[in-house]
Amino acid sequence: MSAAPLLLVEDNPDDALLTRRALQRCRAGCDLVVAGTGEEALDLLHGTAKGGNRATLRPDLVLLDLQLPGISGLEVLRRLRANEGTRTIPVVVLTSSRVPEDVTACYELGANSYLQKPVEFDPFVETIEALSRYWLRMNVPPDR
Amino acid sequence: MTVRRPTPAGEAGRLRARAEERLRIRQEGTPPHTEVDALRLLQELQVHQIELEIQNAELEKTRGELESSLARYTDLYDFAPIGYFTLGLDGSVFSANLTGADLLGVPRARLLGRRFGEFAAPESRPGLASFLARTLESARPETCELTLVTQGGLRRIVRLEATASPAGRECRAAVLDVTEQRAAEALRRESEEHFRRAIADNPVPIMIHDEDDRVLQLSSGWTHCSGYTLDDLPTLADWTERAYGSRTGLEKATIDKLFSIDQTVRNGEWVVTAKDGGKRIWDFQTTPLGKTGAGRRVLLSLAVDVTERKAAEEEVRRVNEGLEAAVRKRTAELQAANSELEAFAHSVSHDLRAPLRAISGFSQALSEDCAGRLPPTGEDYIRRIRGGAQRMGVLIDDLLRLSRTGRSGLARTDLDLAVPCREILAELASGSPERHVETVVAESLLVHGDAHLLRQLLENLLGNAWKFTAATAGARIEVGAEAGTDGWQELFVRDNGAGFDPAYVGKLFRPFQRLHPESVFAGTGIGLAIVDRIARYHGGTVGAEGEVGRGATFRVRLPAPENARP
Repeated sequence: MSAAPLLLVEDNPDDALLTRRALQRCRAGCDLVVAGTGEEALDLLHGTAKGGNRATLRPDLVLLDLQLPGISGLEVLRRLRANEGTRTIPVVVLTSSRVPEDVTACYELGANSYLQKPVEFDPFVETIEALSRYWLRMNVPPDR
Repeated sequence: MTVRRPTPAGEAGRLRARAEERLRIRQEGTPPHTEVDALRLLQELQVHQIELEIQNAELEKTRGELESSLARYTDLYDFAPIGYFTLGLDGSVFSANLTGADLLGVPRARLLGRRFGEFAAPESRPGLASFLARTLESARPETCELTLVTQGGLRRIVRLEATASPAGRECRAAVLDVTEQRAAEALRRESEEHFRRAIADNPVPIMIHDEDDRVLQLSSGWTHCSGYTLDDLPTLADWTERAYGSRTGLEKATIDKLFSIDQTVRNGEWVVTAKDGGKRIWDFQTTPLGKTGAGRRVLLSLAVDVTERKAAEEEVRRVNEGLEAAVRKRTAELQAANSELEAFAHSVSHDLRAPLRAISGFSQALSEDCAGRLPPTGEDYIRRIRGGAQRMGVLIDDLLRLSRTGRSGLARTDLDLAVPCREILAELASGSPERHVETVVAESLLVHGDAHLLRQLLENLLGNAWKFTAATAGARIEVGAEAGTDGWQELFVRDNGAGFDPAYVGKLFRPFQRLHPESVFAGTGIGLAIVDRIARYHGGTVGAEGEVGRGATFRVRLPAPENARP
């Protein structure tokens, strides 16, 4: 396992699989951890997971779906930004909705980028590629 | 010693002669006097003569005074402002002063001897006769009023005051012309009667009362609205007791305050109890009317019966409240429906697209992972699956766009749409550099509306024009405005492209209705539905004319700029 995986917060297994495939296609070449709910993602990031593994996950990037069962993507974002340990992790909101109110709320809560998942796979791959190029290779956070 | 005096002529001369004769007879019978006696007698005579001279001068003076007094008397008598007559037993005129003669319109000289009764109006003659008879029998002055007709035919009303002479053979009458006074009185009575009737017959409740608490008059409106008559309300205290259930409030201070007003004052609305026990709401105002002849202040209190109006207002208020409640309920229902629609739209946007992504993504994965193992028809089917998914994605996006159009409200300003028109056409041209389209945009297209929405409207119309002229040689797109009327501006976008069958013009502006196969002109059929919706948000309309192969003209009626309205 490489030191800094990517965390994908996505409840839809199809979308999770397609995202993994897109990342492979653009050779982002990193581990992908998938959390199916916002709670699971927060447990991983804050080290509050029940059971044995209490190590905190420090991903290079969080890809966050907005519409999640349980706590919403916006709430996950708010809690990440409120926590000292996760405040600086880049978060890219990745969702099929492009409701203007959601976009505004995301940026207000401190999302680093906002991308709409296109229906077509090829544009999706291009989107993921542009994203990983920028966030994983060029824009390393200062405290790393 | 002989005193020589001039012999006075006339009466005085004869008087002198008689005096001298008497003196001579007396002297003949008496013995001669001594010298001394003669001297004393002379002395005596001289004194006496002087006395007589003085007496004579005084008599002369008295006579002068008498003459002047007579002149004054005549003056007073003749020119007094009252006519004086001396009438005989049969009413004939013995004497009259000038004023009296003037009153009858006859020169005085011709009046004497005529009957005074000749000048009485026919209806006054019996009264005059009995008055004269009464006067001659009475020891006291008698008075009467009658109408005289002058020689010239003028009717004069006169007041006669007459006294019989002590011997009872004649009477002296003073005659005062009261025609004008009576006319003025009649006028005043008439005016008072008008005022009285104006109040009495007034349908508005009006009360006239004085500071002695007396109610002087009530209008019929007062009685009609409250049931009380003047007999019920002899005093203001009776009114307050019956209307308000209290005689208080009529202390002197209150009355003084009430009566000290010098202009109309509003007294506000009061609930009064009518005679039948019903409650009326009266809106009072009080106007000072001045003073009575006795110097007592008089007020006019006027009330407007607002009972029905208040009830109507209450009814209106109640109805309004009901309406407001209905509107609130309806608004809440609409808001709930809107929220549901929004949730639905959100769900459509999010949840319907996810399966599409799966269809599209996994069919591509299938195509990639099984490359070479699928027959060409299989590859074709996969392409068709992906194409279908893609079109559905566009449909969903357009549907959302339509449902969200204008939802955030309109920000209206005066705009020149020629500017966005040129920008949009430039963008379209740069997107298809291979095309040659002649574009004509009017110098200015002034309207009043929402800049963002109207740009969207133009994007759809110009996008359509651009799209439907793709196969036209010498393509031309024109944007202009036609003379707007009564505050409206009619814009048009005209192209010489594919046009449409006018039989289907009704379908043009309905969502997802297409007049061309998608294989020829791409699109979901949502663009004109959005144009229609934006125009309607502005209170305007849209219309289209066209013919297959001969281009189309779309017209949009929008509000004119505010400064250009009539």
